[in-house]
Amino acid sequence: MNSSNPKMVSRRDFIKTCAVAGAGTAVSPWSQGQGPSIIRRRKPNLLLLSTDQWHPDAFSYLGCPYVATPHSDRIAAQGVDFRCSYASNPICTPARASWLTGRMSSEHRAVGGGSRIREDLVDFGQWFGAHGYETVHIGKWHVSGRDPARSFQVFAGAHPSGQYSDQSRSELARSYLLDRNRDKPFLMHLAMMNPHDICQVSMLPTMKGNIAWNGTEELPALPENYYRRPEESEVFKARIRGSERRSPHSTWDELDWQLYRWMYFRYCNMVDATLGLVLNALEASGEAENTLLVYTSDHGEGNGHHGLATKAFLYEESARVPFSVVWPDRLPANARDDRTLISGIDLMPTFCAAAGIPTPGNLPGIDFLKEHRADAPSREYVVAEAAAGGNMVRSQRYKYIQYDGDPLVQFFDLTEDPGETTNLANRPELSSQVQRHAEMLVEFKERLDSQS
Amino acid sequence: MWHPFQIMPGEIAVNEPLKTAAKPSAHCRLTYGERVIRWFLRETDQEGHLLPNVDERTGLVIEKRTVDHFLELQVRHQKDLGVPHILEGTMQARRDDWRSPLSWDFEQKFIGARGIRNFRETGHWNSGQARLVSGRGQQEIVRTEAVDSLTCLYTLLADFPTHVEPYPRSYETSVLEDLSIINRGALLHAPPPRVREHPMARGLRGYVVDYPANFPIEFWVNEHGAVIYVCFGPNRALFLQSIEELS
Repeated sequence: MNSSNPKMVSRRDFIKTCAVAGAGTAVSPWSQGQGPSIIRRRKPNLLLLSTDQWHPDAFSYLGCPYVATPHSDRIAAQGVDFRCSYASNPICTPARASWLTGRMSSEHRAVGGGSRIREDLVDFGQWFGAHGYETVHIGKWHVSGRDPARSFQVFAGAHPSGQYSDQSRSELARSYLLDRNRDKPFLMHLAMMNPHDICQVSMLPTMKGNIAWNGTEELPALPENYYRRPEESEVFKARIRGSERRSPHSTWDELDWQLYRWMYFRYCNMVDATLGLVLNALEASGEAENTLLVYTSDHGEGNGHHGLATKAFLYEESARVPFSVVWPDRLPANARDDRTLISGIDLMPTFCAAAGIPTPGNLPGIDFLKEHRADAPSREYVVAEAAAGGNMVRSQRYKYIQYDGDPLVQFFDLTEDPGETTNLANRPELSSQVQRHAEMLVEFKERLDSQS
Repeated sequence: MWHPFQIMPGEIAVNEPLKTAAKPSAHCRLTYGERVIRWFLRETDQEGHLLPNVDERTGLVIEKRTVDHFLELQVRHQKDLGVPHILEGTMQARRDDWRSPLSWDFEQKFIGARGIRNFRETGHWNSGQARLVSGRGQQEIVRTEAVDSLTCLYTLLADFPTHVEPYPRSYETSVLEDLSIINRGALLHAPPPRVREHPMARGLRGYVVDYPANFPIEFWVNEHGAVIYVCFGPNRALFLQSIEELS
């Protein structure tokens, strides 16, 4: 296990110490006759708390000065914050389908634009429901070809506007947690919408002074790599930078981008403010001690990095995602993991391992908690696919990107250049690394169940 | 312009007689429609801008009674999600600068949500302390927070404090959001000049309640104190549909 923080005392040890010292101020189920071994024999509850389009660094606890995220901070403080987690495909539909099935988008085939998920693939609502769990989905779905009301025993949908509906989603989840029948463990996916509302803003034409920014509040500075354009493929320029969806903001100037970032961070604040309802309810229910909580986002957000907005491309701001995990007495609190490489396809196998049930078929992902606890990493890389056609390979240090139909490769040293400002693909001293990453991609693709 | 006045003018327009003459009496019923942008259409306007796909939502109804320095409200606010989410109940407030809610008793109803039951929200604010109780019976969450000043969308709609000057003063308060969250750091200031100059704002005075956990919320009020529009950033707005005299 890799942690950049001093060893944390587990809750069990803390309470034992209190008992020995005669403090007796903490009252836990353990002091009432239930020991940790009893709790461990119960299957854990599984709570996937997701947001949509959250930039991986846009949190107060990471030092972002433009955002106020007390509840996200609370989650990170209670568990392990994984800093090398990636979407399987950095756009809503395929990323979410990967969570559900443990499959890459080239396997499940739900890649957006109305394309439907493969019918033969089981999702975690079905799988865990068949293995003794009560399964719950509240909020955004966005996976064509699968009826969530049939996969989940408890289901409540959503409206696409996060500003309008996120608090209602939290209220629904709160009501469920406080009032549910306890004869089964639960698997819940609470899928919040924001900060995805920023997509609507990205579709609007340039303007100045026409939103209720009071003119005195400091606007966020532009990102350091706002102007940087490492050598990019013509395919990327055409399909991403030149896409019709990006044309409204293609003429924005610096002030427009700053106003966009200001609005984006407000959307983050907005959804964070509702998360406390769920966290408080989980604690009040008495089930927090036996709940594995994963807090993440389907993909990131450009937010001006490389002069880009929204998602669907393979730079860090879009492909990397926030990922905090809380599991009392099984994971340390307030810890950070900069080593474990995680993909969205790992949720299904990790949840299965936590619940002590088999996985549905031979999945390409891993139990990331097992990887986290290992003395040394066994996973060499993760792969992400792009809906526009292309792939990313992320190893411990490097990142390889190639878009379909173009021989140009991008290769970045993320240790030295986390902002991806300089394409090293043509450096002679790195040619073997570039080649090895290309081989990794081939290896990985050969393991997938991409039925024709 | 990133504003409901520009993005969805037809959907939220209030006819001129209502806009200018609406005058909340001591006992009346206020009905507000709500519009939310779902996404954009594949059509553009004459300037080449994508046209928004605007959803009509149920909105809210407030029955208001003014008794001396206090307000008594009956509120029904429906949000149309995959299942209707209805907040319905009563609220008592003081007619101070922020129209502070003093006590409230609401039911949160989730209509047709399989496996999810209704919820009760009650609370008090007194002597700088807010006490919020969510749930029912043994399944309750009780929170107590120190809150110096408090306001709420419903009390501001019912009786906007037009005597308060946002320029250049501002008052800091906290906002009771859907009865279950208290968001802090709200200040009052003026809307941007270009929004004030928009034709839809003609004859109205704008006030912005701005706090970090939301977009700046604009209240557009006519000369009689009736809130005509509430704009929550570019993609959501309330608009007055009717005022009904009840006394």
